[in-house]
Amino acid sequence: MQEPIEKRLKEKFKEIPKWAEDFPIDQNRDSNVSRRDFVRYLGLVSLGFFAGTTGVWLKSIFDRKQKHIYQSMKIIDKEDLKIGESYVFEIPDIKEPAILMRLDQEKFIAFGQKCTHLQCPVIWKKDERILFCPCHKGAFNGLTGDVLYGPPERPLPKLKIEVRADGVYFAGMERGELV
Amino acid sequence: MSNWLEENDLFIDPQRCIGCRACEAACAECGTHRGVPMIHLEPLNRPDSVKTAPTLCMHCDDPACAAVCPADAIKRTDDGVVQSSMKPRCIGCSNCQIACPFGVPKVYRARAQMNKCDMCYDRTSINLKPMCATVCPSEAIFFGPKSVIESQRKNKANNQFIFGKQKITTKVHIMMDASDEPVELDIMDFISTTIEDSQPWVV
Repeated sequence: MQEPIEKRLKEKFKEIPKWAEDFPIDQNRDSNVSRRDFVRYLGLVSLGFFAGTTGVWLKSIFDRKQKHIYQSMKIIDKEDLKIGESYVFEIPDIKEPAILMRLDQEKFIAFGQKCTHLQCPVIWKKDERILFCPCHKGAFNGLTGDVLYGPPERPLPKLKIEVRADGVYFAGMERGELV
Repeated sequence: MSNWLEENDLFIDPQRCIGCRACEAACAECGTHRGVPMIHLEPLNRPDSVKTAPTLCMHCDDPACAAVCPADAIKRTDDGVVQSSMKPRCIGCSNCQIACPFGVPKVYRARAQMNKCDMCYDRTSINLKPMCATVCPSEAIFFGPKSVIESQRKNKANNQFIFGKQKITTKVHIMMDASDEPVELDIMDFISTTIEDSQPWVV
């Protein structure tokens, strides 16, 4: 029973155009999405989203309970970092960036470099003694890692630093977690 | 799909219509369009004559109403029955009302939906005759095999109509005077003769 329509379309357009396939006159070629099917689809999709976010939430609870054990590593020689300067390094086993600052002769301080807002790398501003995030103009106290202003709400994770005779060493976390 | 609709056809013989409106009453009984008849009984020339003709959907092979529908609401089944508009899709734009050469679809403003004859698909799909054909006392509307009606009557069944350059083949047949050639129809012919002959506003 479909011949007359197809014949007319072929005479006019040489081949059956896309719109005629999308909006067919014949009932059996029509895609009938009923209201019930659509609501069922919506329900399943929202259930999927709910299950996914619940899974992520449960995983974060599980991860929070596990403490990562860091290997001690040498960051830099004392002479290579001048007073007031900063040095960016990577913690190898978790591949996270961190930033080390030398405040005076014996005082070194280090934080995770990812801004706690949207994880842009923070930069050391020597004159103001802040760690500044250029993405959204957030700033952290360079001595404590606390938020001074801007969108971030949590302080930067602080690294434990040991100054030995042969260099500056990273020795685990003092506050917060990098991962 | 049953082949009930392939074996049987609907035939309209306007010459036999006596204007009793039994078909309208029967059509209105149907549960799918409660109280509203989908068959129109058209007066042919009201000032001069009481003659009427039943008008029901001709169920074209290439339905113009479905081709112009912007909401994709009119569909044709496998057995060639053009359905009434789908309630969730119809926007009541009356494109189909303008496009149909036979003047069949009608948009009901109150429910903003087009409804037309669907050859009683609720009945014909389970091997029953359409309501109008079961009640017509003069068999002006007849449902049955083509061979039966041709053996019973002198006139011939025709289902091809020419409107200008367009030739339309329909599922419903109209009984013509001893000719089964395609019928050429020009609506202006009918209008001009009607106006000249009757002139009901001239006192």
